[in-house]
Amino acid sequence: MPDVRRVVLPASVFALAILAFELAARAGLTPVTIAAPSAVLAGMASHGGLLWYHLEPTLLVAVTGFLLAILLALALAALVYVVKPLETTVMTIGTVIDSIPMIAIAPVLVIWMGLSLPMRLTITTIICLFPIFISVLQGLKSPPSTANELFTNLAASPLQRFRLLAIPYALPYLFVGLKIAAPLAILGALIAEWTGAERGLGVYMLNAMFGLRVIELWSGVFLACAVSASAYMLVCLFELLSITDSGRRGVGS
Amino acid sequence: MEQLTVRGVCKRFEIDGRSVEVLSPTDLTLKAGEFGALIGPSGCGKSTLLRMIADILPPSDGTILIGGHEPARARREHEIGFVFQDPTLLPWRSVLDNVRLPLELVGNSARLSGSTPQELIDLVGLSGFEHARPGQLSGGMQQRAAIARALILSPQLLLLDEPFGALDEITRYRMNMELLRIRAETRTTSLMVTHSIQEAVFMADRIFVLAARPGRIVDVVEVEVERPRKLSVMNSPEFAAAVDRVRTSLFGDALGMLDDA
Repeated sequence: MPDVRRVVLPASVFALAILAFELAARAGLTPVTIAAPSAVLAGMASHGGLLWYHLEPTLLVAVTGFLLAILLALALAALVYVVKPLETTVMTIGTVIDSIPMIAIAPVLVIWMGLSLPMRLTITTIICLFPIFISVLQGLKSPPSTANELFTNLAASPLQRFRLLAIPYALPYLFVGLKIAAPLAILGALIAEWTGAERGLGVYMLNAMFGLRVIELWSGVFLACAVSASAYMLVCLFELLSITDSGRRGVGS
Repeated sequence: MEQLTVRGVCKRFEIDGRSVEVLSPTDLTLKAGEFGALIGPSGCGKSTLLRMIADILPPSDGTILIGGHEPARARREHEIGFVFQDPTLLPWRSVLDNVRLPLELVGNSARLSGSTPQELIDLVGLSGFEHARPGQLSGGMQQRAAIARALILSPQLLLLDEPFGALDEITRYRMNMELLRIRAETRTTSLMVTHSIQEAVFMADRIFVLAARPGRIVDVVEVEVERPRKLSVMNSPEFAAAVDRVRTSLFGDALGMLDDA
């Protein structure tokens, strides 16, 4: 049962780690900067409304930015697939943009756009765009040479080749990109909030940090991790539903 | 009447600024309904020749006529069926949908004279596997589906590039017999690339023996074994004579020597 083992083993290690923290905190072995997991959970339960107040705008930015990145990446990958000479240029520019630390250009975006929703969406979209674009482009180019020769032999039109060969071959690659980009979307939304916002999980965590409110800070950490992991699992679910041939799932990962 | 005519066709590639001749000017013809085989060592240009006939690769020089027309026109009119060594089925489509693919690409102008996908699936012996995915089938069964797909538009010419090269010997013999049976029904003019002398003699009416560096036809062997052929014809003197002739053409006087130069 390798499938079960793949889930159970990491989950048990994770549970054991939480348990160890709990026991250590109760025994008074941990510094005050580490809250007991039970205390964090209790804190979250009693501040549910406040947490949601801050989580909502973060989710909104992460989800919208993620969807925008998908649309842009698909359009860009299709463009580069059709106009092949563009590939080197787009890849070079993309690599440069992707290698700039987002936290470094965020202030520039702030003075351009202000502390606004468009600014936060821009940061999230940029951070997600490149991994999706690279994966999809790689996928569009992944049909084996004989498959391309087959479509030549059958006198397929460029559109038929794109629709019936390139896109289905690119689908598993798309999900590889989405799995990388989904947690990045949360990261992008948090970074954007750190540059300044009224509401948001990032704001909540910053406030907790400056106020040395340990339990609140850990609540924020826990929530960010939970949202990030859920986003990843949601992508896995979509993959499961849209690629029915199990042999083609998780290509290249 | 000649179904396939190849006259003075050659192929040169530019490698590091040097022009390398992969195939010297080559002639061959096949009459309607004939089965030809191309046999030769790796690098003799036999797959290249097949791809030039199929209008997948452009020849550097020479003329190719398929039913009196240029390969480009024959390809556009779906007169060329092609079977690759790799079955090249689309893994997300069922056997039926893979066999139907050419009909889908042709669209409404699909010729009505051809067989239905189901008839072809029955013909290649895949009845009951219509809804299986390629990944669920053995290599031999995948290649059967590929043959059905190549025949769905009733092409004038069937080109096969080492179609059974990746199969074990037992499966290969079975597929050889199946292909002979299928061809006896469709009468499609066929040209097959192979590495196996036995397979070439068993399948073909005429064998074109190629040598490498540069690729060229060094002998044309007419196979006098009568049809329909069963595996037992392999014991006949005609079969042995043809095998011997092909082997001699391939290896010359160096027979038995460990000399690959």
